[in-house]
Amino acid sequence: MRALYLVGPAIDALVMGGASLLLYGVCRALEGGAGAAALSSAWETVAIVVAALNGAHFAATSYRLYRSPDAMRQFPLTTALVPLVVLAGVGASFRWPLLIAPYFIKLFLLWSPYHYSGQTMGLSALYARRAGTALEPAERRTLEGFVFGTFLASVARAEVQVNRFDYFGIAYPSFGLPPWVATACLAAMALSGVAFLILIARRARSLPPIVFVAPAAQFVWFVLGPRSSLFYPLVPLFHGAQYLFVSWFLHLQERRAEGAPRSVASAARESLRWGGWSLAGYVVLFLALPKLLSATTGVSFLFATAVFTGGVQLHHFFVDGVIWRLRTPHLAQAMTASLSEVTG
Amino acid sequence: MRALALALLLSATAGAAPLRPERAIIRTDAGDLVVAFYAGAPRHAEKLIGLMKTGAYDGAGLAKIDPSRFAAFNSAPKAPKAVRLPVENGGEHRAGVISMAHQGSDADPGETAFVILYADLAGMNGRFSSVGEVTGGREVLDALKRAPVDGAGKPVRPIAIRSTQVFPDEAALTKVALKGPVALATGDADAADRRRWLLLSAALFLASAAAILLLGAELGRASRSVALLAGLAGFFCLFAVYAGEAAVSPSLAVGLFAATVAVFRLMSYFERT
Repeated sequence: MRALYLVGPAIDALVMGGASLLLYGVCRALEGGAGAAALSSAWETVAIVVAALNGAHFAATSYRLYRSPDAMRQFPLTTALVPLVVLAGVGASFRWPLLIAPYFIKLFLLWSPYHYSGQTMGLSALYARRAGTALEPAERRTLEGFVFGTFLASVARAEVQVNRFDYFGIAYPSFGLPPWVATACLAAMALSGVAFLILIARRARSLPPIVFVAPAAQFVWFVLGPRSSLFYPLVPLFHGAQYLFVSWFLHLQERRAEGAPRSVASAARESLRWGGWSLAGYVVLFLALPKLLSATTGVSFLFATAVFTGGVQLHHFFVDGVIWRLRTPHLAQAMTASLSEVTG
Repeated sequence: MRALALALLLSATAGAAPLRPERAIIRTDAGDLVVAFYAGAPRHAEKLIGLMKTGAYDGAGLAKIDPSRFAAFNSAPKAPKAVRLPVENGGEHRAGVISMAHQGSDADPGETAFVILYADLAGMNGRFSSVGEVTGGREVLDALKRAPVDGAGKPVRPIAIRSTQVFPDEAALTKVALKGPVALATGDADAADRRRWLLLSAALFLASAAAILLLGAELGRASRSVALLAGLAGFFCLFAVYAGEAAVSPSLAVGLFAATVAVFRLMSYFERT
């Protein structure tokens, strides 16, 4: 029988967004009180861990693509051409720090929540598959409307104000959208959500709750989350945790398919190796390469870090777009396997 | 150049504090600054003049620009020995004043780093040594204000002191050619030219994307993907040109927002069979 959860109900539910929902409740309860200062201070203490985990999730993507000659052959443009295009953007940003850099940053910051939405949809589809069913086309469309609606509503709300935002000292302008755009996006999101729930209620075969955890979490991240200054900065961590969890599971399944022994010890070894590579990738992509670029181009380290890591993230959006297609037979098989097939 | 030199010399000075006869030119990547030294800060003035005569400040970078307060230069990289002096008040801390770094800074043990003030900062009086003032080249100071900086206020591209030159008196300066403000790599200089270049790039990219997309069914996955990438690059050029102006045109803002989301959506077809 196919297992519904990658590891187990509690862990899957927490990582897929349950932990973020709980934390949101805690943050809202503490806000304005004495506990808020303590929580804020705790966030500062764990900031390095948060940055490392979030950075590792970008590195895990690159590791997954570049460790396998098969993957590189399968996606040659993503492997070779996209990095060049992204590097051209980084170079242009260095050359024109006021003309290009702000818009390079703005583009990646707009793309980022869109990318989150794609991941959320993928996770819902994944658990539906693991439950032995699939989202019907109409269900999928309405769920997409809701999930991408949270992205649109969140971005539109931020972009309504005429303002200059700041990313590591790089100021970039808002669009200054008319307020009706934010209202329309919110309404579209709500209508899609209601339509999805109606379709789900009429379903002959019900979907397990885990299918809804990631979309619910994303609603909190993007629509409610910005109201909490304690909670909102942690959103990238939740997204990264989801990614690392699924990516780790897939890595174990792929290593097993490549002939790794079926045992807990082997899985633990592989997990450590994978985690080590991901962390090393974080150090290279987010610390060493910006430092090297700063030293070789003369551009300040902070600016080089902001622009280059923006480029890393743009590349990540491309890579994720191609390597996580559940319709790929090999991927579908690996992602519907159970952990016991690896651990024995 | 003579006219520029004269204009720079006649530009406003910071205050009415008595000046020593010496003048110095600080040649930076942004242009030249003319400075005079306060008689009321004799030890600091002697130290600064001595360091400038020996070229000790050559290569000293601009560490931080705070347009509302000051431009801060790093310590002299070629200073022979750390010499600390007690605070001297050559004059009030007003806009244009050169003030030496605080005593006891580990980053500048010899106390050779200095700031040039953009505003009157009375809070510095008595705590820092005001050693002189900029008497020429205010336009250069203004150019420094516009340099792009990172989150810590450090210039994105290095700006440094190229050389310094000390003259016995103001009259000696009239024979010297001064360099006015240099267009720094701010991105706003020649913006119109770059805009034309960006629009041309966008047109080429979009034309190539459209052409390949029309033939996409025949050319297959790779061609379509290249077309998408070209389209993205072309879109980014337009985005860079127009996003800054979107706030003044609601229709442009809505159009750019919708186009951005559409481009993200299109990219999901990248390298898809």
